[in-house]
Amino acid sequence: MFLTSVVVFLLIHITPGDPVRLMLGEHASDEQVAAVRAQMGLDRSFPEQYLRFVFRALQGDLGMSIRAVRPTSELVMVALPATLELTAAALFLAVLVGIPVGILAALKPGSLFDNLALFLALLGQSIPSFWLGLTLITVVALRWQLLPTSGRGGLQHLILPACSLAPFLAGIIVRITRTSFLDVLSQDYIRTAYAKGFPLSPVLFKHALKNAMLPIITILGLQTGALLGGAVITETVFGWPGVGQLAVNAVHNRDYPVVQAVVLVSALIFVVINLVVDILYSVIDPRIRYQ
Amino acid sequence: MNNITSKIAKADNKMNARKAWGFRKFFPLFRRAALSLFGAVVLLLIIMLAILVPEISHFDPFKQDLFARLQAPGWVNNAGFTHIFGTDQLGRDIMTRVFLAARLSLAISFISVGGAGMVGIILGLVSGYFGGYFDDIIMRFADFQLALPLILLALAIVALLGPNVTNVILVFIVTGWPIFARTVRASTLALREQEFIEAARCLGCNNARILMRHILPNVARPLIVIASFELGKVIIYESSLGFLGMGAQPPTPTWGNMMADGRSYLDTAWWLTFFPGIALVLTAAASNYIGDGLNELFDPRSRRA
Repeated sequence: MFLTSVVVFLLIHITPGDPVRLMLGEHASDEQVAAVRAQMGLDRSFPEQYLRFVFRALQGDLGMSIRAVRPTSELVMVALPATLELTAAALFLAVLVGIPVGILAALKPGSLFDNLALFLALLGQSIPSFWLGLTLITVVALRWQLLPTSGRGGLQHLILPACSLAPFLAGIIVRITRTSFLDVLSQDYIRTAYAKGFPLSPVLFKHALKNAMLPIITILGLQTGALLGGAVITETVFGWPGVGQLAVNAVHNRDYPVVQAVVLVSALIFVVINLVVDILYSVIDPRIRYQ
Repeated sequence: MNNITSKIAKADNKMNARKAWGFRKFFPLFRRAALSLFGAVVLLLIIMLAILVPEISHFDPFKQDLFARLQAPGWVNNAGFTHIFGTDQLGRDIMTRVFLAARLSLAISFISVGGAGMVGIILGLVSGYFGGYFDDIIMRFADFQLALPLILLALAIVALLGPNVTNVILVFIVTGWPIFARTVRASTLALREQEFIEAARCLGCNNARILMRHILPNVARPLIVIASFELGKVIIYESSLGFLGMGAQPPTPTWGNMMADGRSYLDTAWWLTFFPGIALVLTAAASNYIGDGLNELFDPRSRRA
């Protein structure tokens, strides 16, 4: 996390434009520029700037947006729930479809279902979410007039964006679930149970599931980054007012503090989620415990 | 004793029988091989078309012809030439632009994966072989890379350095090396204790030689698999960046910015977004299936049948 903040800060401040000049416009006099620079603390040395940045950040102050002249943290906080909503919906869909398919595929390896599942899983990973989004808009929203094209609102606004974000993740989930389950099913204790004549009973199944879950949630945690990234694009396509769109607009407007804030917050979310995954580890598998 | 052994054997057979149930024993293997072969063919086809089509096409991909704008696929213009994929909002032939964009996208992808691969392999070898301080630092950086979503980092870098092709490649190299490094490091760690390495050392090989001639070739297989998957991934991300407007700038066509242009015409001229999209999906799918096929080939565990 520390390293992240350093790099983010460095990135933003290596910028070859002068943000103060951008802020004030081309006609600002040199004195005005110097005055604002002093006010924003840009004339101090780098390490000092960094320390001030961290100090403020820990207090929740991530700087002022250049364009909107509002606190960045305010902008991010407003946009964040939207992104979280979208990401959660996509995750839900992907898991809902992916895990059962993966399990079924593992139960019948080599079958038609299995091959079809893998084919579709890889296909899902090959389709860019924005193209899927555009195609869905064209067909569902424009041709069939079934669902709205953009914006955030009720459930019907959520469906299309979530559906264009989910397949990529679903593909990954199917593959990892299948592999994990195949591994678990070939374990000795399962084979022994089979030998003793037990069918794949619910009890056994539950144990197999628990053990198989480990790699699955690991990968899910790691994929959070990709999910957030995908959300950025999907938000742009669907006009979803989330953090991603905020970031894209900020980049176009050279609004560095916003970009900085968004990157920082995303990194934070990622770290938190992986922490949760680590904790879940010890819940699921009693063998792993932290001293 | 015998009872249990034979029972386990029977259970094994039962499980294996389930595996082959419903399908001939060889067909699943053949199917997967066929799919990845198909992927290879598609990719080669696209590469060939990318090289050929802009050369032999009658249309200039940059010349605007406003009388011919937004024509549906199959429209024949005054000179008698057919726009197979239709024209875009400035009257340019879409097919020519799609394959011109293919050149750029493919080039960017290959260079990015190659660059990330080289950096990753070198860092992974050093990290795994020498261990210690190097290892710690390099792995810290690798972990840190994971935390940032690629797109956001790409956005940040492009915001700073400007939207062009070089920066896109830079972004991918910077974000793409960890996966190569990690894989190489894992294999290196395993191999470094082997006897043949020790033997080589006894013969007087210096470290560099050992790394290049003995360790690297053994690490190559998973690397090829990873490289093909990364290729698919990079192609998609590159076009995503192009879609957002960061990447090659107009009038240079990339699949991403062609689709961004076509967004305003979704209900009237679907072909503006459709054809670049299909090209993109085919290319990405091709590399993914190739990677999957190679994975099947190299990793005995994932074989079924």
